Amino acid sequence: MKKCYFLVAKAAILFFCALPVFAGGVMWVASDNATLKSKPKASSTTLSTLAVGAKVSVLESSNRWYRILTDSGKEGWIYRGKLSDAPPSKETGDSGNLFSSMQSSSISADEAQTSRSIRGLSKETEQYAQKRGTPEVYKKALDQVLAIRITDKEVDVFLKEGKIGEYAP
Amino acid sequence: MNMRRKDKISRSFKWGPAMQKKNAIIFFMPLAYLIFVSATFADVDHQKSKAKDTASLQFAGLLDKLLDPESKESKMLSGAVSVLGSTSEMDYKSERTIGESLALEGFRRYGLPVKDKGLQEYVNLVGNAVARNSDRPNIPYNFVVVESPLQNAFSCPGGIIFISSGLMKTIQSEDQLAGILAHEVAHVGHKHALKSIQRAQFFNGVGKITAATMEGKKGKEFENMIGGLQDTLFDKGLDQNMEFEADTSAMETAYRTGYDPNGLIQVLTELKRIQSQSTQKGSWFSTHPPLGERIGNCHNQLRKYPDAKTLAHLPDRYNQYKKSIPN
Repeated sequence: MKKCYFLVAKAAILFFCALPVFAGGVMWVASDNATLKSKPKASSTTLSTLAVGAKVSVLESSNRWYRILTDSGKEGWIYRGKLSDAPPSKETGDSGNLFSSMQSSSISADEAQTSRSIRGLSKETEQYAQKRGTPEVYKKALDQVLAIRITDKEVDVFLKEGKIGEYAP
Repeated sequence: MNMRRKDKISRSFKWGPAMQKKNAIIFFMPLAYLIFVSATFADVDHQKSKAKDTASLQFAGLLDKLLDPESKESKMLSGAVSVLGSTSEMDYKSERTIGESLALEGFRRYGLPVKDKGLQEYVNLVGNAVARNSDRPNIPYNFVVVESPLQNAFSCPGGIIFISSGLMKTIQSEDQLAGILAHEVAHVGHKHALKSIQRAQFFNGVGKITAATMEGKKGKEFENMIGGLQDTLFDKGLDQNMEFEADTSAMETAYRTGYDPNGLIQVLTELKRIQSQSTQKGSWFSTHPPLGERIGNCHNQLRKYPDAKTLAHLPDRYNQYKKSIPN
């Protein structure tokens, strides 16, 4: 039995020693609105937008950009900040239990977009406010906060104006 | 087809009580061994091969104990698994309802939004820029500057983030603001506030938050749970390790966005300087770990970013908006 443990232990060593070799070539898209570009420049043509969690192979790097190959065979350049060396955690949808379990299903890209577009106080928050006798001024304030909509395009323009990240010279 | 696939995946990852410990052993076994190996190799000059064999034997002994349900080690592992299980996922809509309810209390406690649309939009732009490179980029984030002289920022579950006008005045550049907002975004991403109230009575027997769960006894328990959250976020503060984790994530997020991650350290350093002459109750000083320790940890993290200084700082753009913050 002890011999078996040693074999498992040896396998574990081999696994962990080999890990950095594989991790060097494979990365994951970890940012929203991650665009694949034709050249290592933000102003170059956008080839496609990659989903969060997409696995990619890194082919080469240049300055702060990586040339990558996606699982679907698309090749192009992506800003380094959009990638992570570990897969991002997945957002969960309705699982039927507040602190349910590890078997919660991951929500799809469509559902994520729906959740991103939630605006205004929920019916349940309204109920809470009513029971607590929350002054109207606070409800109105929260409504105004939730009404501010920032699009990906606006963020890109903002980053470009500030020469931040992929827009840095 | 998709449903069948989902069922299959669901079956293969069953996390029932019996499976939890088995899975945990599978997850922790290589990790435990790695720790043993690291400890052994770190001191390799002083260790002899006999000592390595001893470490391996100890590891085998640990496995024996983990497999024995009556052993102390096995019970400790069961406890860890129980915590892991209970800190897992909540559906987003329920989380958002908790966050919105807490936000209403945030206005009551700290004041109303600063009446400057340009300033609010600017903070939302910086916040959303970092949020989309955060650990949780797929949810909506809303940021609000509230009129309060206290040095404070906090986040509500679901992504509503407050920053006081007092803290906005202390901040001197956009990378510093990005660091603070990224810290709060990290709390949302790691669901720190939710983890702090997961044992609240409200959650017993509740599937998800609906209009029905806001009525009667459950409704009262919901109010108590929000009260507990206020106590944690507005007065006592989150667990120190959660704060350190949020600092680390914030620096990584700021860096990935293209801001100098040192911005966070600069704000913490300034807060440390003004701490003695600032109001403590209800501020970052009372709800966050000692600044010296946080600054030290952040400096260690900064070593990961050799080109940090070459990234964006933008003091001028920040100061354009800072001018409009009321005294």
